[in-house]
Amino acid sequence: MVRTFFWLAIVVTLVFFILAMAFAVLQWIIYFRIEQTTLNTDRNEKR
Amino acid sequence: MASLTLAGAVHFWLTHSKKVVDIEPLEHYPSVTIIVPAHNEEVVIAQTTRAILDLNYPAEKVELLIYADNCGDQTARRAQAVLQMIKYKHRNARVIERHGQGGKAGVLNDALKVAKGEYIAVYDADAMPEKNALYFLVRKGLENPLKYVAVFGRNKTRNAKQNFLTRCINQEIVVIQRIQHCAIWHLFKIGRIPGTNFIIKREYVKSIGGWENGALTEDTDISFKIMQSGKLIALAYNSEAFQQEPEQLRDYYFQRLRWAKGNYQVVLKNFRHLFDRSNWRVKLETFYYSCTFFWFNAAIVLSDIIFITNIIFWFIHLFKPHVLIPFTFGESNILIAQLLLFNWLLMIILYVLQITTASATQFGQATNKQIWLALASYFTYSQLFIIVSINAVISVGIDKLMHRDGTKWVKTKRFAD
Repeated sequence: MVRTFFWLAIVVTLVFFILAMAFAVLQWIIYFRIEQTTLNTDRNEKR
Repeated sequence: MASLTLAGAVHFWLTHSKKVVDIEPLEHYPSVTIIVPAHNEEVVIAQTTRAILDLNYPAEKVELLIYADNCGDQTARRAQAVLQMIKYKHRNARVIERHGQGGKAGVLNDALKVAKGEYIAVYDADAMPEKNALYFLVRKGLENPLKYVAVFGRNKTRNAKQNFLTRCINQEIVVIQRIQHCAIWHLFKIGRIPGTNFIIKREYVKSIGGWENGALTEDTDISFKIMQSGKLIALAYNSEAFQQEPEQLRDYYFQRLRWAKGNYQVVLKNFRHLFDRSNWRVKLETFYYSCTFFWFNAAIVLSDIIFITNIIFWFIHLFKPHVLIPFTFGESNILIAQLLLFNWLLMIILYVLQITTASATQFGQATNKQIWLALASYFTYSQLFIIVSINAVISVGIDKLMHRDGTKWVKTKRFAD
């Protein structure tokens, strides 16, 4: 029983860890895209 | 569940982050009746009235009805004073003093009888809409007028920088609006009417019998009704209104207690839809609500009980070695304990990621301060959810057993900006 739980916990942890890493990277992509889009729009409006 | 929501939101923002939003004139502007239910709102009503009358929407297409509901203060006079200003004198707007029952839902039902607009828009008395808020709502509605019977926007915290509590509430609101709402709309085309800053077709509301009088969260209730009929509540993510949040713990507690009780009522009322032939969106939403308010809550309470019991027994074990810690996988199996601890760390990372991702979607909001605040709120503010939820469960239970009127609620205190 404990052995099954252990391997289940390993799988869940791995999936969870990979997801967290992916979200962290994607969050930076969103951040840079939003900053770039807003700054470009502001620049174009000033022109 | 949180991972799925975050994944949906990330995809939504990846596809929307490069879009430049233009304010182009609409092909036609449907008439809109804006309703403002106000109960003792003298502090904020004038500012909200002005913000509504200054909306970027043709003035001749807007009818404004401000309901001073059972007010014991100067709400009606303050609103009237704004309507008397030269700038707004010609506008189709009036203040109605009401002394009826039913709270906000009662006001909305009364307004429904006299409203003339094609759409009904609702703004709470403390919700100051941004200039283009109504324009974006209507624009979204016109994308698919047959299917989108209601459209909702976002709410921002007006007093976010007031103190630690309002900063935490702001983070919570930001996550709900930019992660949860965006994700469930993007993934499943499910929307939730948020109580303010939304429009709904007048004829449609009439056809479903209006708002349920006395419901603690009349908005959630009507959202379920719309989904049940197969229609959609669309998200206009650019439409923004600024609303006040409680600045004191007591006000916060009673506001959240009311919301939690209302949500429990909605789950209890709709739980049977999980097993009948209801619309799949209703099933999914009921499942989501029951996961959040029952299973998640039960899991947290159980985990806290285990944690506290183990700490107590560990302390006793230090002085009396024959007393063992009760909840373990065997003291020698340290690997599982380490794994669980690592999972807890990942949970905290996921919690912070939700907040940082939500902050990243708005220019200038993603700062280091937000990360520290998120970490602090995880161990403090977030834990209040457990207390509120437990109290709400007990309160709903007692209401049912004692046939008590559970719809009476303490009004959230307002503050002058």
